[in-house]
Amino acid sequence: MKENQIIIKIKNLVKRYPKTEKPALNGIDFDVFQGEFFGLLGPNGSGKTTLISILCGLLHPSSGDAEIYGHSIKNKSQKIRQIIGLVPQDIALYPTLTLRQNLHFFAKLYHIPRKVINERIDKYLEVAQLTDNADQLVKGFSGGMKRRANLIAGMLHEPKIIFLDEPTVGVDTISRYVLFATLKNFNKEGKTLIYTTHYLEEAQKLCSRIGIIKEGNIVTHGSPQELVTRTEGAKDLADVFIKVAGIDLRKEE
Amino acid sequence: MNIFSIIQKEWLLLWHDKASLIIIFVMPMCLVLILTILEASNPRDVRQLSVLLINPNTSILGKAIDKGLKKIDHLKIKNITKDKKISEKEARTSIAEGAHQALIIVSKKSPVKITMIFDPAIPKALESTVVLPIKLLVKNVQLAISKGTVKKISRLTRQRIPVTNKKVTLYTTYASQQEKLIKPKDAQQIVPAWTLFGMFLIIIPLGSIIIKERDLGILQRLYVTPSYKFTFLFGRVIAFGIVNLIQWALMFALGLYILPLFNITGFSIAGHLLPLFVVASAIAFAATGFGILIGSWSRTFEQATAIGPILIVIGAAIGGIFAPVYAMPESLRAIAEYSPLHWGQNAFLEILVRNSDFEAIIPDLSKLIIFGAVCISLALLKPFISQKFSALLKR
Ligand SMILES: Nc1ncnc2c1ncn2[C@@H]1O[C@H](COP(=O)(O)OP(=O)(O)O)[C@@H](O)[C@H]1O
Ligand SMILES: [Mg+2]
Repeated sequence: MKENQIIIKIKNLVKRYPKTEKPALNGIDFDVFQGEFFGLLGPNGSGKTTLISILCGLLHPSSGDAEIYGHSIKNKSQKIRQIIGLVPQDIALYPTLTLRQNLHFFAKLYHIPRKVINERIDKYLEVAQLTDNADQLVKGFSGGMKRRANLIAGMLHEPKIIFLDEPTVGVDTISRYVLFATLKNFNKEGKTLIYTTHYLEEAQKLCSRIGIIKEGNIVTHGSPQELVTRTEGAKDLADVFIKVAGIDLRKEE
Repeated sequence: MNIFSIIQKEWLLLWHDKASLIIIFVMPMCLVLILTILEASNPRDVRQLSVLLINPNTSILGKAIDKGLKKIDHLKIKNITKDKKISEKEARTSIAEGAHQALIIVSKKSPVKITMIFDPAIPKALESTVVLPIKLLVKNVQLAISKGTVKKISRLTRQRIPVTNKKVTLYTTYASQQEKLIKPKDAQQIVPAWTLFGMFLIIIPLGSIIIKERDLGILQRLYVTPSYKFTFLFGRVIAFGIVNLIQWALMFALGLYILPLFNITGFSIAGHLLPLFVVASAIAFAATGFGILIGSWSRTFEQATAIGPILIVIGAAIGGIFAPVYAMPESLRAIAEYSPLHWGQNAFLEILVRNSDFEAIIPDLSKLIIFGAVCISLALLKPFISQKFSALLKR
């Protein structure tokens, strides 16, 4: 596959929720290339989750469209679902089941063959360093363990594109380190990652390209370096953010 | 197939919800045990029924009835066919007065009509101890006839044996019109009533699973997989339908095998397993559908676990679960018709107590199935309905 192949093409996406004045997405337009680690950076309520949900086929856009590998997201093709993965913002696991039971169930839904299913689960348990906790109930996990479990539940089927919605919220240092290492590895394997966050350093460290989203608009995008040099008087990404989006993310913590 | 994974997942979730398991399995069984024991300590024990018989029918069937009834231990048969001292009218009066419990009249000519007139004061269960053996006798004779045994004999003997192979009609009536006033509860009513109640309580674990899936964002994870949304619904209906059927089987087994240990022998299903299974399946569909409706329309977990059981208790109260419908005032009896629990109970009683044919339960079965289907449809249509509704409010 060519390095610069466009795999996600977003065309003037608009999303209005019922009963709201302002649209949550106000004409989003950008492309994602094969093998990118794309960071979607924006404050709370800027529309990150909405955008990801539309790209995953969970929400209908009010207007506009997006294509993944040339397929419109409106078709909800089963083929596309097999090659995308979602790590939701919430810990979307059954708390009263063990981690292994959870993973087994989701793996089945992705039609992972019976022969490889246990092998695959073990592999990702290892990746997330949760092997010893596999047979414990998820409700007993610490916040960081839950985040790691949430992460691997979305990538068991080894999708080509993974959407990650704030996967590091409320995570301890060790878990954060494990998560970063996992994501970087995944990216090295040639997978495309679309990653939302409101942590600047994280985006700077991980992403090959960043899009800054504010009130449902992508105000600018480019590599972290590009963004800094392109913005007058900016020394780092935080400055870019203040200049471009008018928001000091450092204060948001 | 991932439908099996979905079913397995639902069962695992239920298995980990011990409180719900107690509510849907243990509680109804305890209630049945307590209530039937209370009922039994209230002496209404009739060891042997005294039955009058008028049977001028000389066909094979008529003779078989004569012989067959004599063999039944719990019936004390007094054949008054040729007794000049007691007319049919007098016999009826003696039933109404309670001197005898039943009068059986077999018509002389074919098509044979068998009329059973009962003392309205005896429990339904006792009636069925008369009706069932007679039904069985008739069936056996008809079976023998249809197998051709009788025909063969007639051919050999070149003699026409008057067979009543076509129609045999059974009538059950009461010797007085007070029938509706005194219909005592007994195991035959208590067991199905609380089985139904327990089956409908399945909405508690079912509703809470649905709400948790939604609130925790698991639904999103499910919906991005290449599995069809329909599979999740289908798997859920199957999984909880089976749990419902297990409840039914356990409750009826309790009635059949455990209650006798406490000297309560009123419960019998008398070979009606298949129609009872069909009724239980229809109830399971209705209860599961209702659970899915409650789960998808409640805003919060608390709402579902409060509203759900309240609705079930109301449905049970008006549906004749706590007290039989005939014991209710006329005004309430009219509302009973609208309770799904009443449809279920009525269908069970048609089979267990009234020994009706399959046809008699079709209306109740249809109502239960339509109810379940409407519930599921309303659950599926929720996004559209609530959107329309909020648009209306905005205007
Ligand atoms: N289901 C919803 N109904 C109405 N408004 C919503 C809904 N979900 C999100 N919004 C609104 O849309 C905007 C974008 O939300 P979201 O995409 O969750 O932002 P982010 O993920 O960046 O924090 C916010 O203003 C939010 O209040
Ligand atoms: Mg969000």
